[in-house]
Amino acid sequence: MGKIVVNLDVVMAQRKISAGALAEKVGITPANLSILKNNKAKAIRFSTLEELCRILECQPGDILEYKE
Amino acid sequence: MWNHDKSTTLTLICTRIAAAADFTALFFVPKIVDFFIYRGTVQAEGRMPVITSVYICLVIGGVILYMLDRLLNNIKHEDIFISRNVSYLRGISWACFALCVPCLVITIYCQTFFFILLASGFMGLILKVVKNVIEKAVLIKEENDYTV
Repeated sequence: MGKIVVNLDVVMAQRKISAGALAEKVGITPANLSILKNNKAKAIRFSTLEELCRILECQPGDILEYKE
Repeated sequence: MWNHDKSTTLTLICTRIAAAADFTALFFVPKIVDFFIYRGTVQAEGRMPVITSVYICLVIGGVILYMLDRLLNNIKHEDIFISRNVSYLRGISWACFALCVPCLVITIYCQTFFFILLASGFMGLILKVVKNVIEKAVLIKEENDYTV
């Protein structure tokens, strides 16, 4: 069974932004960002995804990937 | 002022009193059974099976009280929707069903025990439903906790 993988750390490295700074800009706690980065999240709100895409200047597909 | 915390503490105290009563009863089982044989409530030929069954009931009762104590302790510490509580509820439910077996043996020699057998089975069934509800709530809470 496939699963959705969060490639947030890759995009963050490309944009040279730290976890703390991103969490603050997106408006989520560093703990929640860590859950997202470590692929432990069960779901992601559209509002969070929108903010991530806006701040990281990317598309949802750059952050989320479906893997078999 | 009466509140949720005091209610939990009171239930915890009641559970521990019941556990102490359960433990104390272990030492007086033959005397209690003899008393009921003397009164004619229990048939005399069933003395040994009834004594054995009452011992089994008390042991299962002790297990149930232990799990209730742990469950209440978790509730007191605000750990309500956790998988460990689901395990305790599952254990208590199965223990209630298990209690039906010695109760069935006692019923052969003391018909009034049939109602305790029924009550135990029914309690096991109710707890099974409660366990299923809490199990689902644990899943929902986990999903909610991991939604970013």
